[in-house]
Amino acid sequence: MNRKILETKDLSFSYEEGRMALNHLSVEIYEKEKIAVLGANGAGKSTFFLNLNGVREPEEGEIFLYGNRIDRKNRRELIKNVGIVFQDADSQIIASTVKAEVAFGPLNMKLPRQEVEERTINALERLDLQAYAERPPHYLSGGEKKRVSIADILAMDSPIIIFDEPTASLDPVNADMLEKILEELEQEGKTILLSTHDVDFAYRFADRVLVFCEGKLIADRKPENIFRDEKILKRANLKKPVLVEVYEMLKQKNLLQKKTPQKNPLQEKLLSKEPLQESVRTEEEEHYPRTLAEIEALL
Amino acid sequence: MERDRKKVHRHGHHGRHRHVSIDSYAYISGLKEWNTPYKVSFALLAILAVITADSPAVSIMTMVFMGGLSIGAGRIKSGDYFRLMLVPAAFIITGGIAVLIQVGTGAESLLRIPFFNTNLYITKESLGQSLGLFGKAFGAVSALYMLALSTPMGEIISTLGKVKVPSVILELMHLIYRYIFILLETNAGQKEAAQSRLGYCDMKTSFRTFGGELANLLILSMKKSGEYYDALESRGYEGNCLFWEEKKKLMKKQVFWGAAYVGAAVILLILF
Repeated sequence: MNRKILETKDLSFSYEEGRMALNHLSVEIYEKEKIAVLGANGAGKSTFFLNLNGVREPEEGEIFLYGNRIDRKNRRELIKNVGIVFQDADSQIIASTVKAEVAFGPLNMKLPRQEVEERTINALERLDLQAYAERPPHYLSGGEKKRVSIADILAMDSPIIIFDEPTASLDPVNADMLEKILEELEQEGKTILLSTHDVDFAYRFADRVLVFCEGKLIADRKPENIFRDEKILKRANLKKPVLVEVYEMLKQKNLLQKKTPQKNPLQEKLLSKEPLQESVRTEEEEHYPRTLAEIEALL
Repeated sequence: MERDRKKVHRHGHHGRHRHVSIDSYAYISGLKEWNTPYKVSFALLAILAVITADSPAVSIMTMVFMGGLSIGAGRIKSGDYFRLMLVPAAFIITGGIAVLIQVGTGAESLLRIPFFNTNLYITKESLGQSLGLFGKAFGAVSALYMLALSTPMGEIISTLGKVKVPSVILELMHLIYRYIFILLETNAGQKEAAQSRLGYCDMKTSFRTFGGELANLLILSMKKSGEYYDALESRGYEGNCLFWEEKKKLMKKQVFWGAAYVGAAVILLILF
């Protein structure tokens, strides 16, 4: 089983008196998990991320990193271990050239000059930005800026990477590139959290979904479990992914040949992970197809 | 490399926002690879030489030398270079005219025109003085342009750091430089949105719209500043901005140009 990397216990936070932005959140995050955080605007996703990263200090509750309790003194450990790619690349970029921008995080980590340069060049290469190294950020396009903001965080090489609505305002080419990077990060063994309004993307990407509603965590399960639960979808104002809708429609019309779909090995592996919540353990699960090919196999 | 240069040019001049201009040359200049402290010293030395030598020959030589360096080695298009020179030229010429033309009785003048109940006139001295001023001003500006058109802002700021300018000022310079472009971009968006709703249809409306834009820009900036600070902190900012500084080697060729300039100035001073 994977190691527990980050944990919050009864985490609460509010920006103004009487309105909780985060309301007693308890979440355990394990190494190499791919977590999608869903919820309406203002449900507390971004605030949750800023708390995990140590930029915001929780009002109540505790955060544990590798089992160590985080307090004011070692808050910096969170910054080193959890990186955030902000939604708006312009609000993240501060340096006057792309290279200086990507080097900003490693420099703040007080790494030796040579390592800073290695990490920077490596991150630029991974996002195909070498040709832009000496350019100022204000002459880049939106997609290029997004890539710079991702390179910023890759250069810091934190084990946990958070993407705050990464697909917002990306064109299809850049969105594909983003998914490719996410895949690579997964293979490198990074833990990824991302918030999104794109349920199809979340369904494709995540092996665990957290649903936020008005500062509360209302569900924490596997995606196929979330997306067939009408109650939760309704409460959080979420739509069903197209794949789930198609699958359910085909099932309803009895168009599926095979009644009991085989469980694929990947799914078995996910199931073997320690149950996330009590509700996950209940009733044997029907496997929902995650790709179009899986649906095709059922026809 | 060639393709890159073209691309920056495109962004700089035909992009959505046409205000981008003078700083874009620094990123495509052939002098970009010069050692920055050396380049800054070179430009300052030239300015100092022009002012202290007080010799038209040195001024003209500096103008030609620096112009040649910017256009030749820096590969800035000559048309662009002269267009950029027009900006200071407007100030220098009006200043020069003020020195050139005297008011009074106008004895021993080269040229005299009656003006109401006095005379406007030019003397030999005033002509010499104003030409000297032209030369000095253009010489100094051309040296400054050599630096400004080939050095990205970040590098100028880090060179200032080397001469112990307080880090608060340097950080402010960095942040202001970055956010100027965000402000301009935001304002360009606002302007377009306002135009699409007839916000600039006549003078009165334009003033009102412009005021509204500025007020909104202030509010937007205040809101965004919190987010910017969060983003800084999330990457380990602790009240001290550390920026990457490229180390550029001082090459023989660069020293040669410096030496050539000094040599030419000395020879001219001896000859004239």
